[in-house]
Amino acid sequence: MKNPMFMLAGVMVVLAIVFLLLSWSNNRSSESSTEFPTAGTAERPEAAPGKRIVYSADGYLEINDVVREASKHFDGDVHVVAENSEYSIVYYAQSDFFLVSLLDPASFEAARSSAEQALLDELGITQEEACTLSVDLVVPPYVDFDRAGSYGLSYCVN
Amino acid sequence: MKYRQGGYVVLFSVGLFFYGFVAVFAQNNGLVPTGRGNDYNPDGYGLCELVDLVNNLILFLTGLLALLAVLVLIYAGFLMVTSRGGTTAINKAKGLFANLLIGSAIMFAAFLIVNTVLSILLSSVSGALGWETVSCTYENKVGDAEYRIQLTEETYKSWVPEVVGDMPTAPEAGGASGSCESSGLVVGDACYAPNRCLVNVSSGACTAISTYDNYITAAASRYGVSAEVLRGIMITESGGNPNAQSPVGAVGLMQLMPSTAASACGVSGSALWDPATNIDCGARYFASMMKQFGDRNLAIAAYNAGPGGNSASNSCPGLRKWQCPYDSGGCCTNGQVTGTTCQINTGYRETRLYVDKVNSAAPRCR
Repeated sequence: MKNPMFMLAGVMVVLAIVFLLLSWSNNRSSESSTEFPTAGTAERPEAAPGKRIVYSADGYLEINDVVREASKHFDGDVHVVAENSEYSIVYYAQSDFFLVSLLDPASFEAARSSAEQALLDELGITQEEACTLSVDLVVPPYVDFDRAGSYGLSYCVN
Repeated sequence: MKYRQGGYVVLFSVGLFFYGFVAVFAQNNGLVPTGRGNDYNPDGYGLCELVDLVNNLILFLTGLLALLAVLVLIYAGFLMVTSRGGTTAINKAKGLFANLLIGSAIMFAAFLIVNTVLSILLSSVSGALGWETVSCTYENKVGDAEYRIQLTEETYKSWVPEVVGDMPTAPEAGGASGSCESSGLVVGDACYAPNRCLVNVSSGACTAISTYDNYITAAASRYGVSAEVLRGIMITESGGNPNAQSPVGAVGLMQLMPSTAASACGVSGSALWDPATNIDCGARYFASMMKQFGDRNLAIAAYNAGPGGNSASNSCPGLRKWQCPYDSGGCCTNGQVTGTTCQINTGYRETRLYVDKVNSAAPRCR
C-alpha cells in the first residue's frame, strides 16, 4: 500500500460506498415521506361504536363516524359529510382527507365561518384537533374562478 | 511501454465489443425508452426520453461493472490462495486488486461527474430535484415532455394564492392578478404567450384527485391522451370533488355539462355523478378536442370554452379568439402588442387563465 495510487483508489472506493449508502438512505426517507401517513407501521386503533379513527398529525384521532352519517357516498370511498348552499364538506376515506368547499360567492367570509363550525360539529372535535387533520378549505373554481384557491382553516396557525 | 500500448488496444477492443453488446441489449430489454407519441405526433421523442435513456444505461452499466468487479475479485483471490508462495501469481493477484481499486475509483468518479452535470442541467431547466427521478409519463406528444422541462420555478407567477389566512377580496375591474393579465400588456409584448399566469396546486387537491388515479390512468390510456393533462383539468375544474356542481349545471370531477356528456359520450346527466363515468367522458371529450385541433392548448381551451373559441380572431390576426387579448382591432399586429387602448377581451379571459392553470397544475400531482 505504499503506492499512492492504492491510497487514492482506496479513498475513492470508501467515498463511493459512503455516497451509495447516503443515496440509499435518502431514497428510503423520501419514499417513506411520500407515503400517506395512514400507511405507517402503527396499526390503526379500534374505534368506539359510532366513532371512527382517522389519521392526525398527532397520531390517530377519534371522530364521529362521518361515513355512516354521510348524506351521499361516491365511488372511491368518498363521502359527503355536510352540504348546504354555503358549503360542502367531503371526506376522502382512503386518505383521511377533508375537503371543505365554500359555495356562496356572495359571502365567502360568512360561509367559511359556518363551514368551519360545521366541520367541528360533524366530526365532534375541537379546533385544536381539527388543525391536526388533513383539511383543505377552498373556494372551488366552479364557484368563483378568480377567487378559487386554498385558504385553510382560519383558526389554525399554519 | 509496448505492454501498455497493447493493453490499450485490448481495452479498446473490449470496449467496442461491450458497446455493441450494450446497444443490442438496450434495444431488446427496454433500456431505450419508448417515445410517447400518439396519433397526433407519432415520433414522440423528446428531452425527457433522452434523460430516461441515460438513466437506464447508467443503471445497467453500474450493475454490469459491479458484477465484473466481483468476478475479478474472486479470480484475484483464487490466484492469491493458489499461488503457493509463487511470486508471479502473487504479483498478478496484487495487480488485479490494484486495477480493481483503480477501476472502481474511475467508475465512481465518472458517476459523480455525470450525476453532477445532469443534476445541474435538469434542476436549472425543469426544477426536478434529481435527474434520476425524472420519468417520462406523457402519452400525448413530444411537446408534452419538452413542456415539462420548460417549466422552471422562475416562470411561475402568482395568480391564485396557494394558502392565505384571509378570504380573498373581490377582483378588481379588469382582473385581479396583475401583470400576467391582458390588462398588464405593454407595447412590444407578445399578444398571446402560453403560461403567463401559473398557479401552484395545493397538496389537498393532489390528495383528492389521487383517489381517482386508477380511473384517470385508464381513461388516458383508452383515449390516448395525457393522464397529467386530465389531472390538470380535474384540479382546475372541480379540485377533485366528485360532488361538485357549478351554478350553470356542470357536474362532477370533470365538470361536464349534461348536454355535452349526452352528445359526446351518450351518457345521461345522472350518470355523470359516477366518478368513473365522469372521468371517462371527460377524457373522451378532451380526446375529441385533441383530434379536432391537434394541439394540447387548443384542446384545453376548447374543453373550457367550446370549440368555437378556437376560431380565428378578427382583432388579432393569426391568433384564435380566446388567445386575443383585445376585443377590437388595431392593438395587435404580427402577434405583438402595438397599442394598449383597445378594449380587453374579457369574454375569453377565463379561458386564457384556464389553459395556463391546467398546464401548471398538470405536472404537479404525480
